[in-house]
Amino acid sequence: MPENLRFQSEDEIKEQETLEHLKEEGGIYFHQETNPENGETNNFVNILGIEVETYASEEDIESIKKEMILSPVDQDLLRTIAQCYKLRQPLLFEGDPGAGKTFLIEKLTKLVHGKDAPVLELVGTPRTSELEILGHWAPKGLKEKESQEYKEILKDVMGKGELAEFQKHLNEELEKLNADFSDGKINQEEFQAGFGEISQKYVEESRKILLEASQMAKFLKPEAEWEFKQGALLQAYAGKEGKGYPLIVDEFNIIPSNYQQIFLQISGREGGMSDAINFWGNSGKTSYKRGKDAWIAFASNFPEKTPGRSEVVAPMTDRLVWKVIPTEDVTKKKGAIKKTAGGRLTKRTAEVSTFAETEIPVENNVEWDKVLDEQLGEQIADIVDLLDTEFVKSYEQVGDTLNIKGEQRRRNQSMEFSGRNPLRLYSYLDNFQVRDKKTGFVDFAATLLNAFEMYYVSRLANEATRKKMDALFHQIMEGDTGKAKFEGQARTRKEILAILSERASLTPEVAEQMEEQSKGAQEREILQARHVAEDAEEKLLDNPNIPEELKRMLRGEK
Amino acid sequence: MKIKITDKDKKPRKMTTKTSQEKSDVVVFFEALEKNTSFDSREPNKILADSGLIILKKSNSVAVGNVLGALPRGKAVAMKLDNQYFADDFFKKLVMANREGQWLIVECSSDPAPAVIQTLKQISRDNEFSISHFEGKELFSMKMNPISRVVFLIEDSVLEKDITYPYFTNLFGPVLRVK
Repeated sequence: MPENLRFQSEDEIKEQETLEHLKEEGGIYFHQETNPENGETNNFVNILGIEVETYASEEDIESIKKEMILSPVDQDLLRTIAQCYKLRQPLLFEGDPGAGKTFLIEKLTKLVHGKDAPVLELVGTPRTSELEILGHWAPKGLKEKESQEYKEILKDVMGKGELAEFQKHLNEELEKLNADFSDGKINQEEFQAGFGEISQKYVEESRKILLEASQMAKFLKPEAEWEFKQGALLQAYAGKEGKGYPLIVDEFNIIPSNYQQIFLQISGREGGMSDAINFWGNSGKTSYKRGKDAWIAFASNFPEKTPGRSEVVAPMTDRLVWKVIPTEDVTKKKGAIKKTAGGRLTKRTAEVSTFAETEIPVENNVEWDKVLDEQLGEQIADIVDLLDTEFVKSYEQVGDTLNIKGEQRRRNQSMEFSGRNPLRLYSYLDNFQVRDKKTGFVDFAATLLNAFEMYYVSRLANEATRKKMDALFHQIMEGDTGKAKFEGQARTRKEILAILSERASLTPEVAEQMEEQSKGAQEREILQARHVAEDAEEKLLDNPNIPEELKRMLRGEK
Repeated sequence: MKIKITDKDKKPRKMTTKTSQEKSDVVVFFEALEKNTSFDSREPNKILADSGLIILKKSNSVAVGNVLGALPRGKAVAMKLDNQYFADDFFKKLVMANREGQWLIVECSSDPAPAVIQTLKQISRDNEFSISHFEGKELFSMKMNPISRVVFLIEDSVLEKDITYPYFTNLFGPVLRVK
């Protein structure tokens, strides 16, 4: 067998089949798997290589697929959404109207929860407040006349009355808490406890004010007939009998900054979502545990192109996987879709929505942080530290710009980096390793590049800066500056990862087999060298021009 | 009448009318709204019905009456949206009109509550909407009846001064400005 040919492993064959299936199915397909342990059948949807458990039926998936034209740009975005959903990392898309932000997030929700599943959404407005985000008190089941009366009471207490005053006070407390958290005066736990206290005050006081105002107005709904209606955030975490919902927060940047900061609570371990929201005072319930379906995705327009001042607050930027959808990509996509004449031209429509071949995550991930006595993990952690440090340094020096009407302008939207990105990146490495097709081993350099693109480069709007960051990655991984001493030899990081990946991928049996093979190869080489030497000797002995004295020496005669 | 297709990403078309033609233009506007559909270029097979916006120079009972009079009796239900904190009225009327296949005419005289904006946005994007804690459901969801429409009537000054949502007019397809 020639040296550059090798047999594919079972996993590789499976991955190849998945890729073929994706090509046939236009990038999305439904399938079922039976758990051998309990015999239960589970439904899955493979979205551009990312496998996600689904409540949707096969018919739902097919119907959703048929409805949409998925351009390569959209495929890239949908894949990112699926990855973030799978890791339960909160995501924010920033881009122009029509870029596909909400459209694609909603599509994922339907692919996972069913075509007709209700979508929990919060559309941001300049007046969105804790009422919509956390919840509010309201009387239950109002009749027409009661409704009119209550409307008047609300107008009174909210517009100019006591509740408005209390809300103002609450805002100040919330702002101070947020500022303390941002300045590092308090940690995440203290922030959450502080938030719990404020929320308790909010719930109790707002109930008291509303009830008093209602009694004053002779609106006679007894206290027992009032209920606390959970807002979108609490519903997302603990609604649907504790399972939670995926929540789409649209126009996030328009929500006033102090209310945006309520969402700081969603930040949890490893750059993912928190396990619970601390919200005290609602019938003694203090914690809203995150259900298995809970996930939050945000959409935001470029604040530079939005009327008024409307950036996403800096502390939130670090808590989200942030992806800018470049205007150039949107223009290209819209142009291609337009040329399909609204999907009527079948050939062009098929061309636009052709499955853009992607890397399929490996069937069985290498436990990079455990194998080889943590040697691979150490290398990866060093590389990630280097990438993170260099990216942040460069961002702080150069910043980012946005093309507005043909002019590159410095961005108003600033980013904060406080160490969550490396943690997200490690989770990514646990789940989306890709394979080096040549060697068959996990390609950690390629996996790291994908993760670096997703968590770092995607935050940038300027194409030149993005390219610069890509170059930085390649310099660190393949260039001289990134070289490190490894087993006594200076090697690039990419080479080191390849060596360690090969070692880590081998089971003891395979390693033994390979060692045997290598030993055998060595023996064969020695034997071959001996034959070559013998042939040469024979030739010399047959040569009449060689003096007899020399021939005797060659024969070992004295 | 030829069906006009609007591009969702474009700003809505403005139709300006002369005072003497007020009623007839409103009739034309309603006819257009009834037949007018749009689609999202990424989902070309999904036809969406637009909501309509009528901007009145001065909102008074005569002006509103003129507008409502342009619709056949029983085709629409009307309501006033005059409270920026209360959205239940709007939801109840919207769901009812939708169930009956009627149009909902909303005389809007204050900045709508965020939940109303949210519903209008969902209708414009998907022709369906979801409401939290409604009719005993944690998350109520409804598709728009294909023959129902939502029309907002708003005074010019309210639109200019009171509406805080920066993309308010984008929530609608056709916009008629009545002088």
